[in-house]
Amino acid sequence: MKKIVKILAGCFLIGLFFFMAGCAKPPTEDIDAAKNAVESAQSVGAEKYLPDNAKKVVNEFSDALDEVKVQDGKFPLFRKYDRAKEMLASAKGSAEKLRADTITKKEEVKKNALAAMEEANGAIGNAKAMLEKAPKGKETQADIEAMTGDVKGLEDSLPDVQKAVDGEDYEGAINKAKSIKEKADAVSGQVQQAIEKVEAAKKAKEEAKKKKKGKGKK
Amino acid sequence: MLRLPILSGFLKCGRAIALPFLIFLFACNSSPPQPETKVIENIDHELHRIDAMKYAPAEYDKFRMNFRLLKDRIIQEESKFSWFRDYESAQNSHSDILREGERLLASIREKVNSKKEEAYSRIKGLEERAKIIDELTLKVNAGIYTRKKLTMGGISISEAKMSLKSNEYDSAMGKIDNASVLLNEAEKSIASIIKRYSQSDLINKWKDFVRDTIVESKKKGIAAIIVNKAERTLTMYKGGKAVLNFNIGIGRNGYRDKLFSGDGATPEGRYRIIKKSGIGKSKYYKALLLDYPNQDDRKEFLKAKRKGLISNKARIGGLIEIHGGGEDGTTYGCIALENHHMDELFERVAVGTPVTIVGATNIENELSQGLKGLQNGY
Repeated sequence: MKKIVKILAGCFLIGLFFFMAGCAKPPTEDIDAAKNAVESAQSVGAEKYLPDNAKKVVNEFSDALDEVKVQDGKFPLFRKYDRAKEMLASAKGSAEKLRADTITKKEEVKKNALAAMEEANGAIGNAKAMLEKAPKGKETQADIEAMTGDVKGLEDSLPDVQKAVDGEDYEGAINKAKSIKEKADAVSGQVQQAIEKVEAAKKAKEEAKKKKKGKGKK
Repeated sequence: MLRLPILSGFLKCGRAIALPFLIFLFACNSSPPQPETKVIENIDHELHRIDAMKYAPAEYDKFRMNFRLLKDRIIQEESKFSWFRDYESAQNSHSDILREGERLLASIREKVNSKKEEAYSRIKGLEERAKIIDELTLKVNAGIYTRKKLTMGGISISEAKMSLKSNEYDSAMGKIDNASVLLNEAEKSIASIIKRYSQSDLINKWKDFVRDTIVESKKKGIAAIIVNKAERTLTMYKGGKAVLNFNIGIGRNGYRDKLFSGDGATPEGRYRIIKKSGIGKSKYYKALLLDYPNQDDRKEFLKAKRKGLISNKARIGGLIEIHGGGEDGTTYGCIALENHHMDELFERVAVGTPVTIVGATNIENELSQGLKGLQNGY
């Protein structure tokens, strides 16, 4: 009888041990899932487009791993991975959100870069059209030549914007496109000023002629 | 039946012993509390944000490694049964790492600030330089190539400023270097034109021309004209005294010495008026034709041809005049005056009046000063 009780007690303890140990398995799958989510966010450029958020997610994942380590270090019967699992699930969710946000942000920046390039291109076209309108003559030849050089510089710089877009350097592309537009608008402004100056001189000449004629009649 | 009161007595007694024992055990655990890692985490975040990996890779690595070790130590203690936890060593490491992180953060911030200041100072220099080149290119009509390089340099400067605004220092420095290269190219092409204006032997030769012309005017009591290209002025002397002074327009490449037909340059040398053309006889109101090319011009032209500096088909040209049409205009090499100034001059000079055209008579002229500004390290 005593033997049977001992065997039963032994089986119960072994069962209990396995039950406890079975309940406290490290959350390997959760770790892998969170890790993959973090890496996936990084692979779409989270570090570049949303660096602060990316760092937070990495820290969140690291904290979850630390919690796993804390439990790993405990006596098997006292291990509890519930909190670690929660933390890993949260890190995974944050990483997935980060990935989605990064893609959105990247698309947004790309869209802005393309729009900036379009604007720069338009501004160059405008400067060229203004230059065509500029009063031509011996007096303006040097200025027109200088501004033609300016426009040539703008045109030669524009392909660099496309290169930057192709290389996914959208911020660089935006900066370059904005700088080109700024200069192109300045050239247009200068041509406009020159046109106004010449027209004003013409008017003044005509008025002087009229006055002369008027004086002659008297 | 007897057992129960004994058991209950034992339990009562046990509680009485266990309670103070437990209190004693917890009281004995005098270890400091678990260190708060959040502060260090914030520092780490800030270090990451300001690119510590770039500015102090070894130190930042060490900091992160120590932080990791601290976290592992805390984890180790946390894994223990609460009675056996001891955070004293972790607490000490925590203080050291915190201090180290703060020191590193301050040192990197200093490095970043100094880099930022350096970038802004270089940008300021480049902007000054671009401004001088811009003025000089317009003054000497340096041509499409120079303006193109100047514009591209300007774009790079503008990009560098934008990169700096978004704290992208390396990108800004790259743009600054690029701008510097482009401005150097623009500068080179104008330096060849304007360096003549800072050569003292040439300035002295021009001074002699002017002095001799004024002496001739004084000795003979005649009119004489001095054209100063750097100052863009025409001065008429009578009996050695300046009586008229007007602003002028010169050739579109007027700061160069004329070498051949169509180069747009205004000649330098001693000439005389050989023909006076009144209203209706000149395309540009009234004109005074000069005896260009003189002997020196012919010599220089042939020398340049021999050296292959100009095309074999090039001709020496002529028809260099002082004419009306306005000082604002650029000419093919002639000297242009406002019509009412031309009226005043026209009636005071005659065929044979000496006309001396020089680049400059002062080494501190506008062009040499511009060149100096460029060479002074902008």
